[in-house]
Amino acid sequence: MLERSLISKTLPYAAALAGSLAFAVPAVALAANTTSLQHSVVLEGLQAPWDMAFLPDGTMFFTEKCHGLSVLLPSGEVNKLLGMGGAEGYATTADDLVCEGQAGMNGVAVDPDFEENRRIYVYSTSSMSEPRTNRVLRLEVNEDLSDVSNRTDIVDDIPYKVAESDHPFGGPGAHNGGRIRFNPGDGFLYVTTGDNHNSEIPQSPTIMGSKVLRIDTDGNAAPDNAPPEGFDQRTYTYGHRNVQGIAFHPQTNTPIIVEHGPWHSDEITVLVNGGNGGWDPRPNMAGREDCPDDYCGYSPNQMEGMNRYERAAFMPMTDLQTYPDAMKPIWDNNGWSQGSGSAEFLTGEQWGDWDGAMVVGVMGIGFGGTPIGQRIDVVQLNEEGTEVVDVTEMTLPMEAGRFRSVVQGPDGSLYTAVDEGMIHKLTPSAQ
Amino acid sequence: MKNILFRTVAAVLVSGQCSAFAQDLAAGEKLYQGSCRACHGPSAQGMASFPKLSGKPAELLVERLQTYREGEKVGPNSALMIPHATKLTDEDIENIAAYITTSFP
Repeated sequence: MLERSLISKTLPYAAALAGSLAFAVPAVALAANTTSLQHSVVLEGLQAPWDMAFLPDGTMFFTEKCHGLSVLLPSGEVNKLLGMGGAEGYATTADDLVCEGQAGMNGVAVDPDFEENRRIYVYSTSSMSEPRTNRVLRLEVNEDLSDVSNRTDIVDDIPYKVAESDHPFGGPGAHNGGRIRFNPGDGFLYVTTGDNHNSEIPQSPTIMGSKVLRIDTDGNAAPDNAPPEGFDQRTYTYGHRNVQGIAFHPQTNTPIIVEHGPWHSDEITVLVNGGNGGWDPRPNMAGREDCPDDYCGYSPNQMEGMNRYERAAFMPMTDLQTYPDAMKPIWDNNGWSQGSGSAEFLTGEQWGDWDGAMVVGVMGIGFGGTPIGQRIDVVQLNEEGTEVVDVTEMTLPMEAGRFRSVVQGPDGSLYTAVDEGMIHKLTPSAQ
Repeated sequence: MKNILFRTVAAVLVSGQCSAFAQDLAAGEKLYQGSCRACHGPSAQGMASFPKLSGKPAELLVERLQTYREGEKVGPNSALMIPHATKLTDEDIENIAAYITTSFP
């Protein structure tokens, strides 16, 4: 185990914020924070770890994008449970589960009644349908956590990008969404999906990309879902670009998402039942003409960097002119797009001033003048959870990476998976 | 100085070719850390949809960077690679390839 501690510090984001937000986000006050963090490597040498989910005793299920689902037991032993096609050493293998580009085995969630029903859920790309789709699999874990059985695909129609297109990151599997989380408030499963670089999907009433689905554990729509008339009733919100982060406010249980921006404006948005995220990259509308492969998501000038505010004016992440009632983001990452892709709330007195704050994993590679952004942001909201009041970059007691997942464990520590192949544990400690 | 000489010779030996430049591993490392690492990873192991570079022959790495530098598309991440490659000289490309093949064989 590698362990060391470091004092975290607050960075002066307020000045940058005041002049940069595209929306009427209130000015931000700096908050002092002296939380210190201890660090250990939980697992390393993994293949693209994507997500984690815990049992109360610390047992940790985790996914690797091209390998499958495994579990880390409190003893330190790892059991490989469900392998994807071609993966070796797994108790069970499902040859239809495939990976390509951003797609593969993504999110994992534990059933709130796991103790009784032994159920867990994973989001994965599958070749069982033609063309391929993303599915949400319900699985049952045996008593000694060595195998899974009784696979039931409770969602089988989340679209997958099949073919390469003329866009940055334009390979198959792009904009694949993939986070799944149970809301402790209503008990439903929330599933986040992406637009596949297909401009028809975000505002489509029936295609399940670019949505946040709210379903029960059989895949049925939550009865209170309130999408517009004609929409698939599983839709909780729609009009998103590529949602990979979702967390629930610890006081209100309101779902809040984190979304990748299109060369500009990563967004944090408080969801409203039936709401529209305002993403609509169709050509020949909103002042735009034709776009490469009928998708304006990176236009204009999609192959080179340009001023992010000019880009945002041409192709808004949240188009409030076309959709005045769209859900306004509460944070836009100072107008940058740096791969904000996971979210969690820190809870417990051990976090000091950060108790109740949201953390966001950022994976920015740096391109076209965008600064590299590989960090964890600590986002403090107002009491109602409706506005951002402070953003602090966590000073890391280890090397930065592409922070793919952030999950608080039952021990109160923050666990984070990085694309570099590790799962880290960050534990606050008294100074 | 001795170390630099050793590393340069090592790079030439590893790359298995006599190029117009004696590769400078330190320069290659600097370029890799600044331009390549964020996507391809600290060990060139590849991340997300960005491919693995470790284990690839120097000739392939050089040829691919030269192709991107010419503005030609190779695969879905061409839009990301072309702007990076455009800035590189022949010597830069040789140095990056030498660093990758030496450090991440």
